[in-house]
Amino acid sequence: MDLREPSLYAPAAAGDGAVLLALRDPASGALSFPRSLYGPPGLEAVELSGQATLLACITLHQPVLPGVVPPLVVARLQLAEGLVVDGVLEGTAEPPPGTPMRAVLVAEDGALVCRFRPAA
Amino acid sequence: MSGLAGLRPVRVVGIGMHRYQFASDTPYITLGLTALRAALEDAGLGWPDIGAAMVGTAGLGMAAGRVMLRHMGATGIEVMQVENASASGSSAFRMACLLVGSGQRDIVLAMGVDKHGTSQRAVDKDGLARLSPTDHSPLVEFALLARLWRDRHGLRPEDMARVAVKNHGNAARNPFAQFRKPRSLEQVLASAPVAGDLTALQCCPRGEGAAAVIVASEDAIARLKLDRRRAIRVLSSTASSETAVAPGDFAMLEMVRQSGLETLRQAGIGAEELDIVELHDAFSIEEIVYAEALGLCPVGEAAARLRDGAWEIGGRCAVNPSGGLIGMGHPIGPTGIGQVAEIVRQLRGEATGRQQPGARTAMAHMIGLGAVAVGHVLQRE
Repeated sequence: MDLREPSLYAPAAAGDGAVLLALRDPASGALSFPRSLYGPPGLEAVELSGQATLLACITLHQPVLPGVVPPLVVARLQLAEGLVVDGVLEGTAEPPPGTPMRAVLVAEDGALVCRFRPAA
Repeated sequence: MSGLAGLRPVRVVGIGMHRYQFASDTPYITLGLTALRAALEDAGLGWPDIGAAMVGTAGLGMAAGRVMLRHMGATGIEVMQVENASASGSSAFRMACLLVGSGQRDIVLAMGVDKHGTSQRAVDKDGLARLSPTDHSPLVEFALLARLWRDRHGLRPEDMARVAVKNHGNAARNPFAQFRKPRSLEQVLASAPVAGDLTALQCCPRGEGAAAVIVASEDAIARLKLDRRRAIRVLSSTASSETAVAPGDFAMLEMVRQSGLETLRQAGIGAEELDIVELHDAFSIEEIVYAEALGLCPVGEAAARLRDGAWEIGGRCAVNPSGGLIGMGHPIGPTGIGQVAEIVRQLRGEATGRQQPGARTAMAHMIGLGAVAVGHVLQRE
């Protein structure tokens, strides 16, 4: 099955996990995600572990945006490598802040998409 | 930088509104010219007196100002369309103040007009994929922020709902507001859930409308014998955009904090001197975090101020006496101009039915997608 957004994530080496595709400045070590087309030259492609800590999450109850089928739980997550991203959680539960999470690939509408689920 | 304080004095001499309303078949020109003609009449000016026009709009398309204003007569003036997302009108007002303050023009129109439905967001065209379809959604951003305030400061859903109760109540007394019904705490909390703890009555409506204000120099006021007692001085005008913040922090909040500080500094006043603040409450949580960021109370204490009535009309500082974006509406282009019009009405003592007693000094503050902040302080002399 194809990845819905192959510029953002890829299968991890084992299991259903996902790695996130980022860029790193070799001089400063600064990371950027997603891989921007517009940054300075010389950035190197790196993979992020997909491990994260949940900072906050909410349930969307209305189809307020294209691509949103409620209920949808969206979260702000701090990746293990330090970046903060917004992602979609698997399922409809709202884990508490501080919950360790991991990126996984799940089948949705004929493609593999990246979702986050509690690591435990 | 001294901002407007280093320029010649700028005063608002005329205001006019077309009521904010739900989408209709009314042409935008009808909306805009209604507000413009009301502002001219309020100022005691004619269209030929206007030296330039700054037109804030986000959804109408190219040359909206020129297409509209030609119906007033072709006078050859500078016409500029200003788009800065939710801060489009505020930015148009700032441009007008700078034109007068710098001496390039004596009398300038700043107006906003918009109809809902055709605006596009550049962020949706940046060529970058995203993990969440809600990335860059203000609704989700502020619903997440509300959860963070819950966890950090004990903010409860009913605290946010009190913002909507207050602002719907103020809007019910504002003939230019889109919503005209007072709402109880129970009604706000029981309205349809939208995102996180935000319910429908805590979210601004979409709609259309227009607002216009006219700013003038001392020379123009004297030359045209305008009513100086009803002219309201613009003390400061600032504009800024987001800076980088630590991971997990909200860049929007730091931007508003810095914007508020600079707007007050250029006005030469402290937040405690503000009798009125009109701010960007597209979602109820925004009034809470922005009021804190602007210095109306320490961070984490907004809920207490809402409970004790400090921000009601008649309280220590009336916040969004117009009804704000939640109650008055948020047609985008007009919103920031509508804030200024409300403040001028209040500072003149002409806000019948919703007058903040003794109001002398007020701040209008808007943010816009992107993110940008625009602030103004106005004062009755």
